[in-house]
Amino acid sequence: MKSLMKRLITTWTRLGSAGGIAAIFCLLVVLIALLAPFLAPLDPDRQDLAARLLPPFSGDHIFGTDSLGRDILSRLIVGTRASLVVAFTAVSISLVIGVGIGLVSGYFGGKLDAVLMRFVDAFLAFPFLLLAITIIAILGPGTRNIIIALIVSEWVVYVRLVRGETLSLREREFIMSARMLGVSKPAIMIKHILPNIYGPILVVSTLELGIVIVTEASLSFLGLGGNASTATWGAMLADGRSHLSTAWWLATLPGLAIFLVVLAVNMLGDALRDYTDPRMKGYRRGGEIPTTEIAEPSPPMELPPVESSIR
Amino acid sequence: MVRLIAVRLFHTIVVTLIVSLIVFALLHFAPGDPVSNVYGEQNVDAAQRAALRLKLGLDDPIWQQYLNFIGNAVRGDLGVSIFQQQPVTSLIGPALMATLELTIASLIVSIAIGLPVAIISALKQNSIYDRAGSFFALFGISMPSFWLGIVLILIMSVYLGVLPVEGRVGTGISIDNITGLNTLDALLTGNWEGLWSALLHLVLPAVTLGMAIAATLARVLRSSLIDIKNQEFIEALRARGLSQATVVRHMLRNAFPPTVIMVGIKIGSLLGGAIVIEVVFSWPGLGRLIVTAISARDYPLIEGGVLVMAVLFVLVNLVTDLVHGVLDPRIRVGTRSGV
Repeated sequence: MKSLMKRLITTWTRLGSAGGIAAIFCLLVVLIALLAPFLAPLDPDRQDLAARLLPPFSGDHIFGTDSLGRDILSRLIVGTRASLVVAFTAVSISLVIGVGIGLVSGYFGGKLDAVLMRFVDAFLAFPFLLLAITIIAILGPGTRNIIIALIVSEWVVYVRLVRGETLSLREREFIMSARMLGVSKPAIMIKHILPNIYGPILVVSTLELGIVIVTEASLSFLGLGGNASTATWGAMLADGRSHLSTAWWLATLPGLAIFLVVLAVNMLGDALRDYTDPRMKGYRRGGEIPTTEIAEPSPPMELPPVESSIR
Repeated sequence: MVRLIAVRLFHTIVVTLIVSLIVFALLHFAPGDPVSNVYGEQNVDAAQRAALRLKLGLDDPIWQQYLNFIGNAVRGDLGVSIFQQQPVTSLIGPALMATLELTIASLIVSIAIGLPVAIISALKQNSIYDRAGSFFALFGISMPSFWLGIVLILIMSVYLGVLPVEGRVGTGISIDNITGLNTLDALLTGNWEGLWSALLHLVLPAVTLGMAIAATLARVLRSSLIDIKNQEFIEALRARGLSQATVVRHMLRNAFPPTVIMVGIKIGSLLGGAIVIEVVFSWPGLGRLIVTAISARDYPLIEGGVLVMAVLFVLVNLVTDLVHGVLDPRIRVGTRSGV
């Protein structure tokens, strides 16, 4: 217990106070998502046409009610779960696909790599949201299809990242010596290369998590989220857009929820980046990560304990 | 430079072909029979169906269908919209210009905001201004742009009532169409009332969309300005007694290449973000056209819209690369690897 406290304190100081606060906020949001059904004060789907569009702080409804008289606070809480489930699923599946392809492409190089990279370029040639929308156009609306659409648009980010890092690691002495000792190729990739790129992967997937949450909200906002009665932040915003002149709280509150969560995720990502790898300062989606050609092989990254809280 | 142009052009063509292949494949493998997709719920007899199959070339081998699709697209024929019964290109044309107008306006907004923020932050590093600037950048990046749009509508239109909520011009005002860019057209025809109305309508969507890029711009430019600030040639310029403004100009000149790359990449997300912003502000652009086409299951229109938007993005990337080559002589020698 004592050592845990100590580790937490060191992590806090290393993440900086902003990063620490962001980490705690993210942890809270995850808790809200996990406990959503117990936390929601009222049934988020119960309609009460007599209590339509009530402003905040009216009776039981702390955040007011929407156009069908449903409790906004409860819907926001349930929406947290919906949003996080989609985002975590999409990011983790794309991560697995992207890391696999990136490792193979970067390690083997050659024609396979060249062909794969042209495909990656083509996927990156679609604006992120446009590709997701196109996939939905084909598969039809719905939560499952939103996840698929997000994965299709997202996997290339990790391919790019992992491939680049693998390329620069491949030529380093410790990989060469592993190769000369007869370690099999899959073992080199998984045991020797992968642990060395945990840092950048963790940072990029945290930052991508923010992008995915916004994209999911955008898709639901555009009415591509399927069942309109399901409480999602994006769908609530869309409902608010049509009642702007009469009920300001309808659109502002869900938007504020998205904003705060994404802000916290971005702050956490920035802090993790500075913590794990100072040379990645300034990385953003699509940006190239400056790689140093010759550098001392870094020991496998020791991950901060907060990692478990954002997974 | 010639070599750079040639290589980038070749890459662009390859990527465009793959993009078209993806668009073709995506919609070709969409669930449901294309003929039923065209006729929707209508009752049509077998003969009509067969005629349409023939017309759409659905019985040809798949590679030939793809070649036809490409061939027609190159000639500017993207098929006929099912829902609106008009050639897809004639629907996309005006929408594309509306999107371009919005994109250009938001670029201007983002430079007007991002540039000063970056310069002040970099010159007064770690000061209160710098912190405020970084905070602004973080906010701008995290704020979902469609929510910012809604909040701006609430404040500027609903409460203050100073700016219009939706559309490109006020009702009862018409602007002669020359380029399709309303503000430019009004200016060319001397239609001052139209120009004022078009500008008023442009403000909110452009500010909304521009804010996100302003934030990225401020971030990237600030960090490259700080890198340059401490270099010896800047010291030398100061030692010679050049004015602050001149020194800043030299710094900017050197900080631009990475910034241009980053902004070029951002234009992609700008085009993506424009989709939602156009819906929020009922701006009749390409993004909104695609979204309406999706709800109407108008496949030729979706296909055309997505293709045009993706190709536009590829072209923006090409231009970005070439501008980068002009600004930064080092990359003309080789081509950047891994890109």
